[in-house]
Amino acid sequence: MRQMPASLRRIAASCVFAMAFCWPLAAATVSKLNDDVMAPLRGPVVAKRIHVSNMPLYAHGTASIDLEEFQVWAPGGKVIVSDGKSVQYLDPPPMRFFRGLVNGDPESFAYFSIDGTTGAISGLMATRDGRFAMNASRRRPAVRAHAGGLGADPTGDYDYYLTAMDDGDELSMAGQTWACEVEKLPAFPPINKRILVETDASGHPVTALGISGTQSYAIAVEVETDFEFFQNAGSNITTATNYVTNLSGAVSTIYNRDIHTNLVQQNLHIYTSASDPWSATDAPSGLTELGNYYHANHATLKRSAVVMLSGKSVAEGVAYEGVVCGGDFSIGGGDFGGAYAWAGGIGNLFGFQGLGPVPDPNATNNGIQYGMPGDGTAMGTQTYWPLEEYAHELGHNLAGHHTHCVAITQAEANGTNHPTQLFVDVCDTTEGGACATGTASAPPEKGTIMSYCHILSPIPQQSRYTFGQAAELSHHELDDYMLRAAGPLAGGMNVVTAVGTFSMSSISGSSSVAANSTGNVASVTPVNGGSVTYSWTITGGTITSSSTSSSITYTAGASGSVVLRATLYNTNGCGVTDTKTVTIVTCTAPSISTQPSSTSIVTGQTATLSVGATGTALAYQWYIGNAGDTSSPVGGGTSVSLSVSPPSTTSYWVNVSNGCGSANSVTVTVTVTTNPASGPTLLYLVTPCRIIDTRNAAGPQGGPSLVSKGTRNVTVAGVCGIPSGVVAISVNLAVVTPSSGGYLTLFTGPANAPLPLASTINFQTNRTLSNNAIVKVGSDTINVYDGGPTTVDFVIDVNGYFK
Amino acid sequence: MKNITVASRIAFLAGVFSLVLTAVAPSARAQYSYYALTPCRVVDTRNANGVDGGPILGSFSQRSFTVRGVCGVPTTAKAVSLNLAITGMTAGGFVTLWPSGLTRPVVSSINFSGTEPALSNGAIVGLSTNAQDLSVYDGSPSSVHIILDVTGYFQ
Repeated sequence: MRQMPASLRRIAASCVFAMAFCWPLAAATVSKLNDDVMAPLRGPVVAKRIHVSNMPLYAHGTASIDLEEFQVWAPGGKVIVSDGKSVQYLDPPPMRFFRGLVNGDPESFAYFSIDGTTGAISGLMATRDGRFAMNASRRRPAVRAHAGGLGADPTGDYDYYLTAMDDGDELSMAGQTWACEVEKLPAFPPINKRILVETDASGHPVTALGISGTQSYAIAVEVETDFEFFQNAGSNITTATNYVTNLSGAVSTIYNRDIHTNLVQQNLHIYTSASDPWSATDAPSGLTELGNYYHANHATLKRSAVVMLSGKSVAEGVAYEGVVCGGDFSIGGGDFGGAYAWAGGIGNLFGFQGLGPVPDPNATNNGIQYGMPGDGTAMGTQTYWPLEEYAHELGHNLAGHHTHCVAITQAEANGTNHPTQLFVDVCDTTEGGACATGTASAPPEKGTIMSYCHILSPIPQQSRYTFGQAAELSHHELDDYMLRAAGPLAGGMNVVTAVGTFSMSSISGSSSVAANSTGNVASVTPVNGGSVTYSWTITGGTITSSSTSSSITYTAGASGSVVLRATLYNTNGCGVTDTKTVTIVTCTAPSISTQPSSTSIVTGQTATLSVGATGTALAYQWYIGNAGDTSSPVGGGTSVSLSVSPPSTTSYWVNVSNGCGSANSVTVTVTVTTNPASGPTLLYLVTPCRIIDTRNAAGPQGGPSLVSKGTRNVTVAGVCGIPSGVVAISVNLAVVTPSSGGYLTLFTGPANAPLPLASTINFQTNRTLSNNAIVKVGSDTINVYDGGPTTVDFVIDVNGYFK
Repeated sequence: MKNITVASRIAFLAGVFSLVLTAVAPSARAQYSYYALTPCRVVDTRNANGVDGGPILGSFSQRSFTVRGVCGVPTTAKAVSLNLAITGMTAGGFVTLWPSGLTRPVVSSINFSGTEPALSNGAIVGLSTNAQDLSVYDGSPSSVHIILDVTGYFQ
């Protein structure tokens, strides 16, 4: 059996409950709808819902459409009409809006609006294989004024026609193909980190939320138009207003379905004279002009993005990527960028099909019956091109990349382009950078709103009106951006508004921790955040502090890694996030390899104790007392060594620990001795006199030379007039032509006295040097110690004594 | 050969004291008795950082150490006899010792070249009553380690 194409399988699956056989309606078919199809749309709205059960979208079956009512205009939104001399502020049109899915298919949409003034209903529908417009044509002259709104026309003043689009409908833009540019930004903050895993901020799998799902965000869009657009709308403010309203409503339907986001129409600007602010004639210039104008004139106007729908004959759109939550930024040359999107050719290259009253069932416009494609008044099939352009360029603002530039794996996203890489689609191979190369081709499931698949033959059937479904990265990319940019909501709708460039530092803290270790710290710092709230999540460990502060402490798991994620929200609900992966080091319990040593100091001196230990991520704590007694920890004694200056003899020990064990050192003692002074004494001068010269013949005042590490005890009493019982002598000590560098220490006798830590002269090879010193005498003797590596000759001359 | 007498060094020391008060010639102030100590290391900047330990003394900078209360030098001591040793220098210069809290006098306690691994000189130097009573200045382009071994005190 031949494998059925994936797209067909899905069509069959999506409408199997409606009919046994489902075939697309033939292209370019225009069919009059029966009253029973329209009855639900004319009837009362119950709990904001309508169910249309028999919409004939298929040649051999009908579609079931569930609709829910929603709002397109933001509260307080105005239509701002400028004629170059004065400005009018008009209320939004009295329309009601409904959105839904066709046969529950998450790739379909249905959008309907009811004109509160005329009671006429218009609709746009798309399935995987067809696009449809539904329009009203007046059945007879109105016999009474409409009360407005749904149900105001129970007998039906209108006939309704369903138009299925074909290729010819799409090609009516003078042979031009709509293209798009993306302004590559100067590096924007870590908000652009693409996380290509199908989990949300909480680590839960991301699934597409349908029309009936929870809607999480709203983006407030300021819509600009130009004088050319107004002319394309027949120079009719109502026509222009209704057209933009329906376009925004249809875009919102798609955004809501795919990325949990309502598009809210803020103000609509219409210019009825040539003296509008817009003189640029190409898309990039237009985008810069738009950014500069808003930066100069509307710096404080809160909005998520500004979309220009230009009526100029430019088959191109352009937008900045990933900016919906940031402020304006300089692009050099005194120009500014920001959350701006520019779409050209609206109502010009793409025809203009606005929603308006149809005065006569037999009237025509440009030779075409009202409500038919190309008649210039009704919302028709050509609305799909501006719809796609609007949704596409605004999608860039929301960080949507062209899907031929979105690689399917993280490694590919990090790497450079390669023909064998897998992209969401390969519909364009000319963009460069980390985008697809090779032979352009649409994937079996066709392209997305962010693709260029619409330029591939057969136009336009290679693209879909979706950002992609949950399993497709193109969808996830925007979904993830909104999760991070707007942040999950605890009830209510979150209007994302522009603020100063809000970003954050990377998460600081150790990049590796010991298994099961506690008290690990991580922190973040907001940038331009104002009053910021924090939300931390962790996998592979446990947060042991508050998870809503700038820093956290956490306990690591037993193995693998800890993934920390910090999300910061400012008061406008804009969020930024960063993740940090911390490696868990497999634990080795500590073991002491070198025990600390007991030592002795003289009062006031400092002793340094140290310990050697093996193990990972060791922590140290020194204690006073005997090993195991933790009652007296040494403040600050948390290093591998400890310097102490106890006033009296004291015992110490150290505990070495990590996340999986600890070890105690032995107890060591720092013995503190006093250095008793002898005195008071007075100085008695003597004529300088030589006490000893080791170069002379061996004897009490002569040789031998002093050997390395040797000590010579020299009797000083009775020599040179020094009396017995002398306390100290003032001497000059000389070393004679030493054969290496070293030092000598003069210190107190008797012969067996302990060598103190001190020196009297430092010298270097072959350098005869001398130094003076006052030396305490003990038992009428002093000692001379050779601290150098070689034998040395020395001379001591006395010039006075203390007694 | 150095042959400065102890008495002259004391006079010299007293001159250091007087520098802060007047610019007149040095004059002795008091008679002090000498108390001898077994040599004892008071300061070694090669040790761990601390009051009488590291870090190394920086080029053209000064710091003060605590001598009284260490090594048997009483808090009442007015001056100490000590051995000053230096090491770690990579350029020539001088080191000055003086009682802390006073303007650094234009004297040197040791002069050295950058090629010597270590050098020492005996000195008698007054102490102030500050907690850190002895100041040391490195008058060289090189940082230098300071080692002070006390051998007695005057009071």
